[in-house]
Amino acid sequence: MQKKRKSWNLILLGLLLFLVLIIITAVSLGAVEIPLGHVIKIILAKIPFLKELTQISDVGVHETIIFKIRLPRVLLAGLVGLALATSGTVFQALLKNPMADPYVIGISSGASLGATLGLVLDLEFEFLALNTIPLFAFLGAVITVFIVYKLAQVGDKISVSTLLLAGVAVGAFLSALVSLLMVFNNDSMQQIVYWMMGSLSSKGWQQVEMIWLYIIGGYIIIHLFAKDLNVLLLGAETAQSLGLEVEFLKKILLVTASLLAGAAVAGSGIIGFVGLIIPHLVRLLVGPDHRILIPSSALVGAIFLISTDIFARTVIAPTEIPVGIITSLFGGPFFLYLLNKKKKTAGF
Amino acid sequence: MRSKIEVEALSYKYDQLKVLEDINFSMQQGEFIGLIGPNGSGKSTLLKNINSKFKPQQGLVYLDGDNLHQLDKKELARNLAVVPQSTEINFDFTVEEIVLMGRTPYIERFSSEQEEDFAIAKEVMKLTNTFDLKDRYINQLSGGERQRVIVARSLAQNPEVLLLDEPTSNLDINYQLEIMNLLKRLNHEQELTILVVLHDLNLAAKYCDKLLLIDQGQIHSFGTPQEIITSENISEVYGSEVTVKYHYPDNTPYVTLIDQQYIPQSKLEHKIHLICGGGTGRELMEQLVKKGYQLSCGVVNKQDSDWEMATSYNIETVIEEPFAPISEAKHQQNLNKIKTAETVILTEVPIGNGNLFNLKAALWAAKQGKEVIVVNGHNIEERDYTSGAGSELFKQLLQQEIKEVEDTVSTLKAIDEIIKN
Repeated sequence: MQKKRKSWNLILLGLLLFLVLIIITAVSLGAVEIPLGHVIKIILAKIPFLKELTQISDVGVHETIIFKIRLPRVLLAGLVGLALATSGTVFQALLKNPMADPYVIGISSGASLGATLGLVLDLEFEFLALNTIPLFAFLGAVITVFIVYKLAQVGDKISVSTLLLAGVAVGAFLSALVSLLMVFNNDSMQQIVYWMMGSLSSKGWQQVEMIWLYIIGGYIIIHLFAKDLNVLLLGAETAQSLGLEVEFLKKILLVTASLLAGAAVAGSGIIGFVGLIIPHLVRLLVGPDHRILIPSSALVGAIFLISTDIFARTVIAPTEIPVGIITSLFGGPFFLYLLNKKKKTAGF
Repeated sequence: MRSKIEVEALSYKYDQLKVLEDINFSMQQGEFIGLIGPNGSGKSTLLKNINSKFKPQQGLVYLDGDNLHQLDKKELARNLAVVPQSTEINFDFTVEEIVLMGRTPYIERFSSEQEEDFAIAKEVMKLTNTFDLKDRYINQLSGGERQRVIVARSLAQNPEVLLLDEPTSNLDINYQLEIMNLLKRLNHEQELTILVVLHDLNLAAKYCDKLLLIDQGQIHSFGTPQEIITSENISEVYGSEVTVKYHYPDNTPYVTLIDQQYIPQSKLEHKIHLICGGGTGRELMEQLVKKGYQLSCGVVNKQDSDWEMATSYNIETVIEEPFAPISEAKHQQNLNKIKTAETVILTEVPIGNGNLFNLKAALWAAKQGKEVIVVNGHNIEERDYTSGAGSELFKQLLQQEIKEVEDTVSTLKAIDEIIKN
């Protein structure tokens, strides 16, 4: 077990290094290429105490590009990826269903309706130093998860197939409502279209500031309950007989995972399938124990979305592909692959 | 001795449906109690009320004298462990990881497993014979292995009470016995108090100290297997006709179903009188009852194993006092029974002075023109304890118009022929 702990730490350290590397790479790539070494120097220069160690000449333009345009976008991608992957891991565990993901079960659509309503009704304001749009997205997410959950509930059991069907149906309905809102509000049309497709384009510090606290806070809560998620996988009855407050746990995890999904949607619109693919891949690599699965998924989620965003804005530059389209291009076939695999083996 | 678990006037409703009503019973430390009853009688619900999954609308459950439903969940989990009905786990956890999860009630929120937890996990894996499996994935084990792992996990809770909900369902017979033997061992060696829901009455009777028979949400009866497993109780609660036999030497009751197959009318109307004793009639009796013949029996002594069988099948029987010679009066009663029968069968009953009348009855029947079947697979002299009188009578009987057969199978054939003619 000590050996396992050690290997867990190594995995996390490796992922963390990789994340830093990918952030730097992402910042350096773009219409104006900034050499990697330069990027490192400019970023280090912003950190107190390290400032004296670096000598930088010719900062002006590059610094502006990095700090005004690229870094916030990269950070946003990382935060959204982290939130979606963590949320997906939690939903998969809670529903004991490998197909669960905030996008597939309609939560992202609910969040997007909440956020759109907030924008259209002009309810964006500061509340306790927090932006209200993520709150609306979160409300939309929670209400949707509640409806889908209730629809799939037979007795005290959740029917997996009903859950997926209900998620798809509710998601489609809510997306239609968002489209309807667009029709009536021509002026915010552009914004909402991008919302529906999921894009990180022209996002900046404003979005990062809006959602980072929700996402980091939500992640910490999930992280603390990782051990309980393991026990919940054994079934509600067993979890209860092992001394867990099952109902309380289910509620807090469901709400927190919805908050994460809601915040992600508020930041970048609907980006599908990240919450589905990442937990799966990571589970194959590190096993089902949530004490390693949760942090690994979070880091891999961040790495994945940052990489995808690099691809989205460089592959046919100067035109950008909304990143949600790319994740769905990957995610759709992956989902089919899972379905096919599930036919052969019953388990995860 | 104070009760380990005490259930007091417990009633439980699910929606408006009364599932349990006024349940009262207690378990002493170290008792091994089986919970039996038909499907839907409320066995599992009672178990879930005791493990605090369900909260009863009325009544209380005490654990060591404390109200169980007010105990802290973790505190409860350290005293009482549950093996649920469904143990399917669809994740690649290893056996050791699963067993370690049994330590959950001992681990604080912000810490992880300590040396002690690993030591205990190892100990319970050894105890349940799962240590060799510790690095295998739980979803790759056989049903029996997985069930042992789940028991190991519940033992890692270090409980004093273990509740199990049908731990042997879906298992092959060898695994069923393995699990029950494991429970019995834990019950003896660890003084674990065990309450187990079982479907299989014979398994329950064999392993449990006491049985609690539940019928429609109420306790029908509570006592030793000998007291509970009776054909009356089973027919009352399960509505099916069974015979109960008792295993030698520990007197464990054993239930056999009387299958209600289609029986042709000609058989149903045919009356047979069986002259037997000393266990020589058991096999025939069982076969004849199953085949639907109207059967009477006599004269047998009370407590004789033929008497036991005849009573469990409710066969009309002429009964003599235990070990007493057949009296003139009983003999007359026997002849009266023979009068109403169409066929009379004499088994290979040992002949003593006490039951010479039975031989005379057979002879009388033959002379009356009844169809008489005489089982004679072994020499009469080997079972004649009358210094010749019995053999003499038997020879006379063989000279009558009777059918002589060797065993049960040829007896049944002979009866078939009689019916055909």
